[in-house]
Amino acid sequence: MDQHCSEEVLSAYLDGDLESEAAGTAAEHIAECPVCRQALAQVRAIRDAAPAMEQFVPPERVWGAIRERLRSSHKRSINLARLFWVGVPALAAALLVVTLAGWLGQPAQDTVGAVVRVGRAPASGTASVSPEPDETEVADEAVREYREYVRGIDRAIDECRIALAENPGNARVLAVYSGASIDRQRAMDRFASEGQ
Amino acid sequence: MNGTIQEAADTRRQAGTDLSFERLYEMYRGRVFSTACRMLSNRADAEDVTQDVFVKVFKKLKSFRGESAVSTWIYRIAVNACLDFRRRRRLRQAISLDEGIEVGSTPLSVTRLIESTLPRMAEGYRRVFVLHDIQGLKHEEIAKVLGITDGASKSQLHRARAFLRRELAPYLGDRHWVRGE
Ligand SMILES: [Zn+2]
Repeated sequence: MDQHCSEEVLSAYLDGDLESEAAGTAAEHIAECPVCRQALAQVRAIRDAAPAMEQFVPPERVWGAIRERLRSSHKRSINLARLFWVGVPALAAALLVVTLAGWLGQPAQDTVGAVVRVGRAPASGTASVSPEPDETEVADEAVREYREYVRGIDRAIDECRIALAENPGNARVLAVYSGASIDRQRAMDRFASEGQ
Repeated sequence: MNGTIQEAADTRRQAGTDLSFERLYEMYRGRVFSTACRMLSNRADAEDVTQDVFVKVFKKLKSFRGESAVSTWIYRIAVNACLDFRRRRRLRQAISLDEGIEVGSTPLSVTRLIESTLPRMAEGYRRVFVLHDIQGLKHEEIAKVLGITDGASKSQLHRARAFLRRELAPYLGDRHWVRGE
């Protein structure tokens, strides 16, 4: 081999990722070429130093903030549950009104309408008590993650559209917009290949 | 510590209590925060993303079925949260025209050199370099975290190291050495 090894080949050679023939050729060249030997030594220095890089620990306040966020979302779901238990007696009371109205032989049209309205409030309350939508039909955690990731991209795309409507000449928003569209396509491809 | 099926099962069994979530946080906070710091090049942003990741982990813990290892699952949530955060940050900056990229500290050692060069590395290379060479994940695990093939993970890694070597060559050994292709 007359030419120097490419940077990528040196790294692949170091990890044993080359096919045996390519590895043999690279080994022969490296043995004779001081330039590639030095480059290989530098790639090795980088690879060997990386695992020793500091593992950063988040400050205590991060844990405090997580606890606080979980506590407040827990409180929200408790409040919805309470709404349900307030709703049930209200529904019972309304039914009683309708029944009494029927017994007394009065026209009950409006009261029945009220029952329907009261009856719906606790129903939506119970549906929202569960903090997460029921996704039991989704078998794969990865697919669920992708789905959520794509939702995030879609939000960004929407914001880009709004920003571009206000200022169509903003090149940086255009760049984010096209990047987000590419990310979305890639994610959908991944989603399709993993969903099978 | 690598996530295993057993670990996943243990975590799910304990998922109902705060204590186990706290343990999970202690086990993974460093990995999540370090990955976020290096992907976002900004500690304050990494703190926000770490919060988001663990709030999400907590909410999804009960529906976690252990189809993937806990570590793969958490890394996937973390990487996606970083990508989402970066996109939103770019958008905020694009709208406000506010430049705010931080560069690392003064290089002293190879690790410091790498740290200071990472913010300039392309996102695709960077995430694989961070996960493989720094966090120690195998290519098969990275493939699952990022939804790419093992081969793509390897090729991104070799390009990442090539980028670093080119950037750091003046500091690694012979300063005047210039290498032709
Ligand atoms: Zn050579």
